[in-house]
Amino acid sequence: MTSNRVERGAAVPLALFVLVVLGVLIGSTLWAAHVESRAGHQALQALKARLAAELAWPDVVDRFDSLGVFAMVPGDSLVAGLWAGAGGVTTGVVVHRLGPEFFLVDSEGRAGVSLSRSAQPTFRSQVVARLDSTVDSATGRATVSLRPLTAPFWSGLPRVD
Amino acid sequence: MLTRHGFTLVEAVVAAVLTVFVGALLVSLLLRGQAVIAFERGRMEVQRTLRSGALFASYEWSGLTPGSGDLMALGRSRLQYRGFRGLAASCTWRTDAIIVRYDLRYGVRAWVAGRDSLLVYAVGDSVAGTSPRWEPLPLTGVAAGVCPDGSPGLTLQTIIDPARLPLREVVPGTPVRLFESMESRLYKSQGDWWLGLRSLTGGGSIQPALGPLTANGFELRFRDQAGVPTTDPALVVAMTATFRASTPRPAVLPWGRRPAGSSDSLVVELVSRNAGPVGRGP
Repeated sequence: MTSNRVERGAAVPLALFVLVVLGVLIGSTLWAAHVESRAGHQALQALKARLAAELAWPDVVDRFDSLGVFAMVPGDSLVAGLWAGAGGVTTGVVVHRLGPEFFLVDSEGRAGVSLSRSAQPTFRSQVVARLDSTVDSATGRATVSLRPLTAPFWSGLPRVD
Repeated sequence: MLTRHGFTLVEAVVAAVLTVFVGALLVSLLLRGQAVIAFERGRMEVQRTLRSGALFASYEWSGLTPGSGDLMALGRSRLQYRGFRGLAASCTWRTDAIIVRYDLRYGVRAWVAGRDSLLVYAVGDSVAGTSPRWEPLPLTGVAAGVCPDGSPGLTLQTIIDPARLPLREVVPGTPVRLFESMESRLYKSQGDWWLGLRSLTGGGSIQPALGPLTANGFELRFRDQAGVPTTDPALVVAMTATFRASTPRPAVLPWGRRPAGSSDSLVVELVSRNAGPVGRGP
């Protein structure tokens, strides 16, 4: 005796439903992880840009003599350094001679990669310094050095264009 | 030929039990997943708030100069201070105005008379016995100007009292800072706690700058040069800002379970960028 059975079930729709639910769950978790990863990456880039800006200007101040900064006339600006660091972070330092005695050292660090161009982390650090001339009474030779302001003045304001 | 439609009772019962079991499992998974995602989202928000707090503290307060009047009033969760809004270089000056170079200005917004004030660097005079210092001046107006060399300038109108600031103590290129008197404090609005900002010279109501925080989400402690705790604004050279944030109260899930909330804190140690070395304290 033979029988021709027609069986109907819900296995395929149920399996599809389970797959969709699992997909939504996994997708949501991955999305959350992705957003957190990008936020962390952005924070890291911002930190790199900031460190780049902060670390660049002391080096330039140390090299004022060799850079010829003392030969600048008031109103002059000098690009004292432009570096590309690891991770695409770039740093630029510009020295402005404000007057016979005052210099402004403007350091900018810019992150290489970011979520968007408008959110590209950029940090600036400025230091104003004042020249100090001392004359050796024995030799009569003048020594010019850079003395920080009282109090040494730092700011981190963006440039007004 | 026999064609059977339908199921036996046993098959139907087994199928129903399995369906209910799998359904309950899926619903449970969905709710658990939802709770995990809500928790993660809340945790990210908390961390983002705290990171913003660290950046805010660093930018707003790192440039304060100790002992110069930059700090005006201190409290456990309140601070009145000079918020720096600009830096410029003078090209010429007279008793009623300082003209600064137009091409070399730094700031976060346009400078406003009345709201902003000036700090001009006076080089000091050994004959008169005065030391180098930052001298505060009012900003009574802002207008276009021209520097002596013909380049564009910006006229910062002010009132210089020669007895307090002799013009010989202002030299070409002297730096000029602009600031507004600000207050930062913890305040409650619409059921949440925020770190608020208010311009004391610009007027207006307090505005949220950071949050939501917890009820004790913003605390300040101050130290002097030796690292000893102090409440005297003139002695402060370093401060510790603590930010605390937590996720909103989690929703109660079916069958009475409550997903875990998230709270975190961040301690920011700030030493004035314009101060000398600071002791670690006792």
